[in-house]
Amino acid sequence: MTKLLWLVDNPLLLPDFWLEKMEKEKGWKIEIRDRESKVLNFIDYDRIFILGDSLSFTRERLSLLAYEWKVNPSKIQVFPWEEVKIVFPQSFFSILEQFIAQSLAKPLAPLVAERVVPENKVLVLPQASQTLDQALKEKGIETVVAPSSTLRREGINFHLFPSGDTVGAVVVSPPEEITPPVSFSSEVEDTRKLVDLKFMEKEIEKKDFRGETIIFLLPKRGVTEKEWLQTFYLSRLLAKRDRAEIFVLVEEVLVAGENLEKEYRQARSCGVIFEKVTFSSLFAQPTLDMRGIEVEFTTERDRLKRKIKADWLVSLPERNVLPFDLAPFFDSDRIEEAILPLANPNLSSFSPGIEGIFVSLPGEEKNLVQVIEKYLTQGIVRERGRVEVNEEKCILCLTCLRTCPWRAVAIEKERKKTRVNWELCHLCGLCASFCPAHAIEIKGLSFEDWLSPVSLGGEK
Amino acid sequence: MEYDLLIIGGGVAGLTLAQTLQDRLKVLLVEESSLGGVASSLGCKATDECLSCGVCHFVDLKREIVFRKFNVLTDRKITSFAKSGNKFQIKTEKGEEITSQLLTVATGAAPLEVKNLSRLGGGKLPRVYSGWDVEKGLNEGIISSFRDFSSLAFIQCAGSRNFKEKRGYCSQVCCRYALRIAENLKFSFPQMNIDFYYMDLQILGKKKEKLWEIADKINLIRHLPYEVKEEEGRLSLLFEEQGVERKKYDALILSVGMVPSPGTQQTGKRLGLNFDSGGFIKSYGQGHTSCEGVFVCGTACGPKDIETAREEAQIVAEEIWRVRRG
Repeated sequence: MTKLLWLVDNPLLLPDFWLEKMEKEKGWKIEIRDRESKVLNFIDYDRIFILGDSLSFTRERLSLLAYEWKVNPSKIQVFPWEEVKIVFPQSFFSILEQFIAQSLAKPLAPLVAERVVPENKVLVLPQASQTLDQALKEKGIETVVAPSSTLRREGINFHLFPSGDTVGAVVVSPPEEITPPVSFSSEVEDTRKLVDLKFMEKEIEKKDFRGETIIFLLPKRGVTEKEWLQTFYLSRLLAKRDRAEIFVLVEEVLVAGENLEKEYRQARSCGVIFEKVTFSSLFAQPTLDMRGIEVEFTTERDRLKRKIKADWLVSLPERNVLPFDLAPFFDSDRIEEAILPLANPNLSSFSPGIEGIFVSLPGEEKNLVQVIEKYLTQGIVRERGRVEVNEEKCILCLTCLRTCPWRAVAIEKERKKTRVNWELCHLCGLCASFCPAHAIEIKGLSFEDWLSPVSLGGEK
Repeated sequence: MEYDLLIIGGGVAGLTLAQTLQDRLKVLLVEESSLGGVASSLGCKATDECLSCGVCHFVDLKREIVFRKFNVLTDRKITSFAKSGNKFQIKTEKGEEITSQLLTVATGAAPLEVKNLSRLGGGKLPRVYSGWDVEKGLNEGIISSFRDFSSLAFIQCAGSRNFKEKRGYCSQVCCRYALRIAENLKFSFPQMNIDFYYMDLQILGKKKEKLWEIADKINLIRHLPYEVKEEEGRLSLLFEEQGVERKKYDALILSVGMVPSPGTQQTGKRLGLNFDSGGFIKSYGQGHTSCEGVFVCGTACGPKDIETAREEAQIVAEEIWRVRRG
């Protein structure tokens, strides 16, 4: 007697008469359970079927279920309800019968779903900023400092040369390109009145700026929310406390943040003048006595030319995150391209698409560390033994190496053989479908399951 | 029924919170209509390239709901809140009585209705769309119905950044969604004239560079029109650039901002929480509110986009876990 379990949303879909008929004719003892109800022992069943939306039950999620239920992942099958509901009930039952017969005909592959937990250590490349370092420390994640080491994959972890350390994750903190909002001549810098926001923060506590003129210069790109808030706050304080004359020259004002709009309004009501100017027409030169900076600009609104003698010019730089080239650090069979902090919405946040590598962006360190902590403590569930390379068929063309989006395929250096790293494999099947020699087998799934460009040609 | 945490509201924030905490705590989520909230009705804004609008994060969340059934009560309005000791007792309209140690308000925000913007022709004149309607119609191909228009204008900050009407906050999402819709229109109809009336471009978050590129392509006018009239079958805008001018368009899109949803206002009032000046529930950092044991996350405590709402919900989840564990 074959014992089958069906997990369904609506038990009425599979009526009793059909179950009795199957038991009599085929010898299948079918049990029906609601998906919400707790099944205590999954091991007893020969196959477990889920009647549901196949998009929600991706292969990765099925491995997770297999791990929780402690069963062989190839025992679990999804019957795509969204495909068959249009033929319900006419041909539904015959399709169902066929589906069960087909999956019972396939032999079970010896697979195990396992939880892989990475080492609780992190390498930061090229070096950690203070905020990142602090955030990692708060969560108790150990950081390894090894700026000139080489990384090699070892399962889910990274092995470092020459130090011999093993880390579970690598955080890339890409360099920033810092450019001033407009180019200043060296004479302007010689006046020593061209300062940054940090300088103003310190000076404001010691010095009285009574009667002086101060200009803030903020570019539209690459100024953080915190810097905007600080500018609003400082300018307001200077205008109110010291009665200084404050101009904030900007292209756009950023108010899309917590409290920003409020602070902006307050600064304006205290007499801070916000002037929108085109930075290309902005020009700065030192005054004749070298005690100040003369700033000339055209207002965007009225196209008026104005010249202001400023005692201080506070200029905030434009910051752009640059791509980080991982290739010199990464010892892999395939060349790693530079990691861009570009977001692909289909990847989890901060991930550049390589398992275990995270990209740190300025201002988002806290969220990043949370993501890393989750990855390092919970790990991932993967299937051991699902993918196998037939070494006799393999012609070492490296197609799989190039197609694998997760960089799970490696060439063993000494033996010159292809190997699929099961800890990194996401079971997408691309390697198997592209392999011209059909040397890669995904157990429990027939070749037709991957609708590959090769198989569509009809040749096998 | 006794729970560790009761989440009110099943939008992106509430669902993310439930997803993060359901393995660790006994969590119940109560939703007054169906799961999904505001994000469920938005459409993907990709052209031939992804513009990172973040709507697919919700699709992912939806799959998660199907995959792993959450402890959820839908179609339930909460009729009463009571606090006894340090526990909350909640009754629903269908008669369930729920006891919970902690509460989280994730009742979200709603788009401002255009009928409040009659000065700009909202709800009065034909072919005046709200950005929200366009977003909702993206999946049904609303863009193709704009085929016959030769000129179109976006009006930003419709209802936001307005202290007189007690909405003195920036809604944060409108500049970005309007630019994405503009890119969609430009992509489908390259000959269409698109003007963009605005105060300041609020471009932040992911794919900033792409959004700046889009902004360079369209005609930006830094002024908000005074009024909109219908003249000879077209919409005429009165605005000021060099002097006072009138310009005619075939259609208008009002980029409406977010206002606290009725549920947020009601729940906040019943629980006696502090509100900020915009009418959102005041958050004192990491989701704490003025009432002990009550947390807030998502757009109930201020406008934000889908991605930020998800990230914030995860941070609040950690904080709740820390508080519960003691």
